[in-house]
Amino acid sequence: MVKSSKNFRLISVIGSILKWFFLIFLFVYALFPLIWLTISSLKTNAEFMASPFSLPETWQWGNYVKALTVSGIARMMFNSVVISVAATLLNVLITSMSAYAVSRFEFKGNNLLQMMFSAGVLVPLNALMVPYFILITRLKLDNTMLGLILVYTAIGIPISTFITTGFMRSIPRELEESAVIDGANFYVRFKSVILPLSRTGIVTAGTFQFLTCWNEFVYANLLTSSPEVRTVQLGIRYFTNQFSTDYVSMYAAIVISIVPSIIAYMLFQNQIISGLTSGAVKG
Amino acid sequence: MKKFIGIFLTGVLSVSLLAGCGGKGAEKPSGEAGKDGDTPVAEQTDTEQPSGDKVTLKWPCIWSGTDSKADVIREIVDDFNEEYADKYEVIIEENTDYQAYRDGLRTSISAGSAPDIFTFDDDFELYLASGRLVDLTERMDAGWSDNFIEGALEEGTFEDKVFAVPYEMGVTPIMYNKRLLAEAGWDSFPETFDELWELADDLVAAGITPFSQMTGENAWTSMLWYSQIVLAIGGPDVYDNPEDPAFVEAAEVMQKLFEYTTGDAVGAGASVSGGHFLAEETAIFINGPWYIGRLQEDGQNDMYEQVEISPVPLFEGGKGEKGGYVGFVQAYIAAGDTGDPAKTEAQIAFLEYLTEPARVSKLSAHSGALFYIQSDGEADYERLQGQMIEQIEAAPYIQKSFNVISPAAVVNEFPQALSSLVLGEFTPQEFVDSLNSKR
Repeated sequence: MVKSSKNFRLISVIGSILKWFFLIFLFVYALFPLIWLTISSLKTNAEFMASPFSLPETWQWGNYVKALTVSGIARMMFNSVVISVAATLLNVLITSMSAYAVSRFEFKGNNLLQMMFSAGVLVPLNALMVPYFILITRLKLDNTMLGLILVYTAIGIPISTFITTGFMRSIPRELEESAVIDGANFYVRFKSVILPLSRTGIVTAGTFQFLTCWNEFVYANLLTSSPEVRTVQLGIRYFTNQFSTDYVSMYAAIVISIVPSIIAYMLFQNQIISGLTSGAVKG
Repeated sequence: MKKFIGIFLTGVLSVSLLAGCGGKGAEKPSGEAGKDGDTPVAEQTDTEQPSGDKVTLKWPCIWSGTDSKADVIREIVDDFNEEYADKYEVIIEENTDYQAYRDGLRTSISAGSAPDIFTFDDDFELYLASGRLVDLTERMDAGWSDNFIEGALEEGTFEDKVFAVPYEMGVTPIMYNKRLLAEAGWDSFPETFDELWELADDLVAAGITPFSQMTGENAWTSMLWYSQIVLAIGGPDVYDNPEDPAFVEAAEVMQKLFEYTTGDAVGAGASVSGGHFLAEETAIFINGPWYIGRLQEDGQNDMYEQVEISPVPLFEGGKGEKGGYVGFVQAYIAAGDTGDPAKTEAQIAFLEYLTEPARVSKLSAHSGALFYIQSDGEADYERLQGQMIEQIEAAPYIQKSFNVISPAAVVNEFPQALSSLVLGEFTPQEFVDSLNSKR
């Protein structure tokens, strides 16, 4: 009996060690790129070239000063926040309404409409560069934040509608029917019944949309030309040019640009995680 | 927390919608931009909008940010704006990411518009076909052409009309580290490929990796090696026949070169291949004059002082001649036609200003780059740059690199095909067939 208890304890300790070993491995595996990036951002270019994985001889905090001052990345971060937040809010406003229509109502062409939204997810963004360029320049919205906001709102519509539709479809019809009996019209049902119950899905779609806007480069580069309206992704590339790259300053700029995403994730992590996992248990 | 988020989002939206969204980003005359390259971009913005009758030209400029030409280009534009203060104004739009710049330019051309002033390095036919390039012939005939070295303007000419100015010259000699060669017992660079293999063996014996190579990104350095070898074997007319056996033979040589390179060459990008040379981990490298600044700034142990340059060695039995060089137009400058005569006048005036020999000499001395503009006789060339000019002048021919004469599909295929070649997945013949299938 004593021997069996000892064996059990031994197995339990080994299991615990293995579990922690596995968790630490995953932790390091996930964090290594970020740690490497941060350490590299504190080296000189010569150190980075010579030994990419060593620690710096002297921590070059000046790289961060350079990243902030030379490229004007602080202003560009502000622009990114404004553009990303506005494009996200506009996007979720539009897509929550479109998702409500296609998920809760039967009408002619509904399936076709849903298919078009799904197909829109698969269209590569680069394929739309010429039409968007023509549209935005003819509207005289090139080199404006509004131009970028409208484009970002539009390019995110298929994926956001796709995500939100799935959530709205899972809401029991009886709830809406009860609201109808209580006298709720179309708008009240949308605002007071469907929207609150779809919050997780909308936040999930909004998170994807925000990250897409924050990380987007191609359209930001195509449709803006002055630092007053350019976004952080262009600021990061300020340190690269045709034949050479100031890697350490660029890495410092990247680290700076990651910070808002981390803050946004910390603020919304409950909704994001529940949004990502809730589909797994819904029938 | 909800209240905080609500207030924050409302604030952000208000700011974006009321303050800035609809307004165009203030377009700054370049005169307000910092001259030392360290001026914060954010501070470059408090400038007035271009006024009244003044013709404003926008220049999406790749020579900006941390580019070695940025400071002098900015200075030239500032001087132009000052000299023509009542008539013209040039606004620099900084474009530091070259690939993104190219994509944007092509999109703009495809959408039927072209920037007022712009540069490009290939696809002259594409820009020509757009019908959006200003015809520069009249002013060239009136004396502007005297600024250019002989024959240069042919590169920007179509049906006897000049539509683009060949500006920056790209030459790509071999760069070698004489300190590392000395450690292997060599005091000069080999003159033939047989000697080059002997040198490679000696370097390996001394514990030094001979060559920097790469197959990642656009395989730039290795593509230049391939160009040099194809020309050394097939001679300067080799590109006339894509089926020339020189292409297959050069592929065999590439396989051998990769036996003497670093273990990470397959898949490596420019930073890796260049980084090995800068860190004195490899002894031999190919790149252009624009790399001189990197050697000076990022080279380990003052390695810049140890770097010398050489034309490619002679290939025994090949049709290439001793001293043959690889060179091409690195940057054309052109003006987008808007149909407005006043604007065309301003565009040509600026291009003439930009190609003034004294200004280009300063640009060359400051950046290390070479140009198709006549020297003003007072140029103070940097050491390696001076060597390149001497070797160019002595070269029996200067032929273009493989990427310049090949269609874009072939250029895009090259890195993947080269990886397959050096990994043994392709024979040299299959490598060439793979490239030719994209023509």
